[in-house]
Amino acid sequence: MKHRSSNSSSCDIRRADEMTRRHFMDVAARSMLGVRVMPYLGGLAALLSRAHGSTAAPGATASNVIYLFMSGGMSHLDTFDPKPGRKEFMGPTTALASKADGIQVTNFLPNTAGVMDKVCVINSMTSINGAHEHGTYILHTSYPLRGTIRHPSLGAWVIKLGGKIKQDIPGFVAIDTPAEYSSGGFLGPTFGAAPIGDPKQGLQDCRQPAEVTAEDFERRLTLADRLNRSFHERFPHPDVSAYRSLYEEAVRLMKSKDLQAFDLADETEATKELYGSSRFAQGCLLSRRLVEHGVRFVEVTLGGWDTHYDNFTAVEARCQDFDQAYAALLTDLAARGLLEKTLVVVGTEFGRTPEIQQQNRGGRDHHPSAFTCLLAGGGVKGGYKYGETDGRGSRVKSDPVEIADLNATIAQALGLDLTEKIQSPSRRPFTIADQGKPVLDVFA
Amino acid sequence: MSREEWVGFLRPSGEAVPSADLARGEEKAEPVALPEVAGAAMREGMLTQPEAVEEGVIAAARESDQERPPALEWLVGNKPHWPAQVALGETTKFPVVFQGRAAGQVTLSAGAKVDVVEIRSDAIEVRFRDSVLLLPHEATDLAAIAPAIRDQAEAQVTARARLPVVPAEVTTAPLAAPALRAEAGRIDGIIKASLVKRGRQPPASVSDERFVRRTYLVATGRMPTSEEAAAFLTDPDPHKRANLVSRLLRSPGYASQMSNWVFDRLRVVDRSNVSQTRYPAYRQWVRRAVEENMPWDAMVSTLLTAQGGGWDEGTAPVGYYTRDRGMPLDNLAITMRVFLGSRMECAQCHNDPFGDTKQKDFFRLAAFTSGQGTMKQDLFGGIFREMNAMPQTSLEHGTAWLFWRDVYGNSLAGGGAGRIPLPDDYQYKDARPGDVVGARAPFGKATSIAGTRERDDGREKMAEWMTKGTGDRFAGMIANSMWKKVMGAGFFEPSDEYIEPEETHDPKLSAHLAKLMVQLDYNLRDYQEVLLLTEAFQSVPNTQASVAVGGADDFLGRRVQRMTAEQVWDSLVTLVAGNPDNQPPREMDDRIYIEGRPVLEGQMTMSQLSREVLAIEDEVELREYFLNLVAKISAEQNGGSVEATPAMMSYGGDPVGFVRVSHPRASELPSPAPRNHFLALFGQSDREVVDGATREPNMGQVLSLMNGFVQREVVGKPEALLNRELEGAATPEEKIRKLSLAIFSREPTSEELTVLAEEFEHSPAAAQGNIASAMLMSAEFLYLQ
Repeated sequence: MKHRSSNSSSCDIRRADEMTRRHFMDVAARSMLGVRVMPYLGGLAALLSRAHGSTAAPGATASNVIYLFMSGGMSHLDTFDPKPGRKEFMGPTTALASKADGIQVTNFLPNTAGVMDKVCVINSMTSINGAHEHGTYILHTSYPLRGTIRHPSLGAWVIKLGGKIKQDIPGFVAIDTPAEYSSGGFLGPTFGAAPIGDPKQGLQDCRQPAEVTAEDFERRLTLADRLNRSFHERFPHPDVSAYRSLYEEAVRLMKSKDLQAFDLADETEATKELYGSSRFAQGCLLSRRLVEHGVRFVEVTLGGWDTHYDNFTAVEARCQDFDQAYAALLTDLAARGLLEKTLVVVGTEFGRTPEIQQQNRGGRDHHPSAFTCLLAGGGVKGGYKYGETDGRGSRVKSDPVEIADLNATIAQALGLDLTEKIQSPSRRPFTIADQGKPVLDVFA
Repeated sequence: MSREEWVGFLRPSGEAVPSADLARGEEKAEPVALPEVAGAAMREGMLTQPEAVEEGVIAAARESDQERPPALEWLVGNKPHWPAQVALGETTKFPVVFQGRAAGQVTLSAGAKVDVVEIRSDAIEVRFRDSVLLLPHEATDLAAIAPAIRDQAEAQVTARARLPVVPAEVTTAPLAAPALRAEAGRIDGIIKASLVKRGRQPPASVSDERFVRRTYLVATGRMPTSEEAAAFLTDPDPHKRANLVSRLLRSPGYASQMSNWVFDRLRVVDRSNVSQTRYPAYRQWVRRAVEENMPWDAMVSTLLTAQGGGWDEGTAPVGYYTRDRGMPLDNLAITMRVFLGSRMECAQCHNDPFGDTKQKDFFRLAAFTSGQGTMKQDLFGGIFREMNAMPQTSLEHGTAWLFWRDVYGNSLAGGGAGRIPLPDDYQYKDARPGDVVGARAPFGKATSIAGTRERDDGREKMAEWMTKGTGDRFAGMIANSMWKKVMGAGFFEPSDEYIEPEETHDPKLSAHLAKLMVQLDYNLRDYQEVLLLTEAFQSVPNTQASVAVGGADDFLGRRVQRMTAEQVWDSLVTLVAGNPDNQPPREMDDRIYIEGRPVLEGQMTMSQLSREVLAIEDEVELREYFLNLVAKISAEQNGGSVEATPAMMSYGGDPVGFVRVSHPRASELPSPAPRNHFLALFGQSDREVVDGATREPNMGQVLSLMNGFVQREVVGKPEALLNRELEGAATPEEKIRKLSLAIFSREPTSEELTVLAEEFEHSPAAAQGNIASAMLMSAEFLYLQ
């Protein structure tokens, strides 16, 4: 294939883009794509390996994100915002001193207590969205849910603005996260997450079937491409083109040595033991491997926090999944020198009421007006507490942080431009964190 | 309205009940004299006296002077639920009743069903699940006709019990009902007129090849087998399109794909991911309601008003509430969105800054449903605490959880108190936190409850308001959802936010379709049949973006769309094993599980346990019952009969065992499918949020198509139907034709024949697999044109 000269820019970064593009198209041509250059390629190449750093918050050092999503609304009182002495709001939950001065966690989080010196606790999260779908949506996209548009999720935004780190491995991987919240939205499916349904299995079906020879495999792709040609011409649907791009990406990944990133079998027994055996633990371990191999954004979901009914039993069970894995993840990242470049977020759509509903066997209802999220690594201050709730954990007393602010903080940690506008297909401008203001105080 | 006992009324189609009649004041409603038909029926002992029948709800039967034809006379005389009086005329239809509303089915004997009887000018048409019987009007030889009908109906029972489904002998080709054809023509007329007014031409009609694939996918949720496609393409009958529609809508595939749709709408899950409560009876109830084509309004009313233990057919619909146990406000907000297209989620916590819903409005609505709870769970509280403290491995502990979670946890008491306190953080000036407010509907017909005392009928009032007191809204929502399902886009979008007809792209059509829905008595199958018979459904694909607001249907041709996850899966299942109708459906698992293991199999079922436990009023008695049960299970386990392996493998058993033995279609799999299942990869809804399904491509999908299920179970498996069918093909050309027909439902183009034939020359042994794999990776397989 002939080289195309770059006419857009002469800076090194652009040239790097151009190299990537050429490599990309060579692979594409060899595998399945046939001869035509898709208009889409220009767009994809332009976003690859974008320079960043100029807009990073002072102190921020992150290039990757591991986002641990506590789905259902994590009870802040029973985890990271205990109110010792207020039995009427705490029920059987008690507080536990942590490794960080002045920060307490609850008795459900003994391992986590030992790593709080690495964690910044934001106790002053606040939102007006008390329904799961709305809360989860805005947490992931920074925008309120509207029926008329699909906003990209945070991982997709990060890839759009920051580019992938490595070309042969997906930039955004979602473990156990519903497709709705790991979508590329209006940026298109190529920005959406590669989904992992079971961390133990890794990326399913990523190996060429043993009974198919390499030659036959190539022939299949070439044939598929020929069969596709007339369809693509007749129906220029954006998702149809997205499938083409995904095939290319998938084939590149299959041939890449980074495919190993998805295989937990490579981990030592000691490491596996450190994390524990729960599904969430496997997800955390996999996320560390993926970051190591150059995946920029990994989301791992832990569900079951919607504890309207029998809150204390349910929270205890969730914390059993969370506690060991989270502590292990931070410890492991730190030991490998990855914590500095990896921002580990613990996010949830809202908190839960201080009031305990006795008729629901000690349940707690949704409570968006005050809740807790965590940041760690990526240049964030460890053992630090930002914001405060009142004595019952009901209202934010100081330094309120809205969800868009949290997302702006994450973007700033990565050095992404909060003002860069991306237009939706309907030509409306959007930014990564809507109107959110980054909380610069959390950076070291 | 009291509706449970009310069986039997008739309403000739084409004559909708005037909506004014339906919108009478509810607080003032008084019992009225029964219309003559119901009175007559009751005198004959066919009906049970309803408690109160409200005016306008029952349409008066049309008097008819005409004699009933003898064949119909026989039908009437032999069906306990058949209307007592009928009118004769070409378009007159006699729906049969199901739980109080016209449903289009009648019970002949246990399990046997006649779908619809229609009096045509030339004959009486009796439609069964898979076939149609035409009886001449002048038929007098009842001795000959009666067994034919009975056999036909019984054959359905036998056929369902045994596999594969064998068409009964007394079968004639099914015909689309003339009335439905006429309705389809009316819709096309409206669309045409409005397009002409805009200076546009209606789109041309698709080829038979596109039509057959599209129709199978829409009506049965899967593509046709090569045999089915070929049979249609070579059929010389000029009415073959209408015939196909009619036949497919009466096949099990119809109920299967509709179940997927309803599961999505209602968020039906097998098990709560928070409390781990199982809902098999609810799932089964929904599945059966769809199979029996229960009218949408009746189904919604039943879901909204149900009470009881939740483990038998009569009380299973409580699952609609209990799947959201502990969060009645979320459940209500979702109810408003799904059935009325009203977005009130924000008002749960505050006045909606973007809409006009105040938090108080929402709470007044919630008052209709307030006071829900489990049945008698308090009685068990002490025993539960005691047993829960025992070791987790103990039988007492497991049995306590069984009672707590699956018996009490599935039950629902409280018909709706009609009053509710405002939340503790209520922040507006018009009331104080904790103030008790009475129920009031936020719009539509004025419906309220004073709230001075606690009542038990709030939910019934709300259900009635929702289905009858909201103008065209309730009908318009379902009419639009079904249009979207059939045509690919709604006549308004987004389809979960109701838009008044005047504001839609084609106001006349929108208004007409809502009326049609009412006129068809919310019979979703008939409505879909009308849509499938339109030229609009058969239009050629359009590649331009829609010119209508929000991507709504602009009636200029169907947009190309990726198949739903369920359609892709069911289509692949068809390539593996042929028509999935031949597979047995998944039956309800009514066994008792303790810590995931079935116990007391063959001795006791969950529904029996639930009934017995919930009947106990006294704690001492309850304790005794509990300990007896523990002892019984313990004895069984010590007797060594705990191994449940054979049952695990049966079709009725747990889903995992079920999946292992076959490739069931999506509707028979666990709901939702596990996250690492093909269905989840392709965007099946997690059934936690409304319309959570997506068609968005992702890398997992392409890996699965390249290397996963497709290679393992279809391309690379000699036993797969696709490969078996090719065994007899002598030449490469024949193989290519068969592959194309099986995967694309069409003949290959001459260019494709040339290219693919080269593949056979290059690698004769691998060519077939390579071509099949390539075809299944191509966009033409994945996309519905």
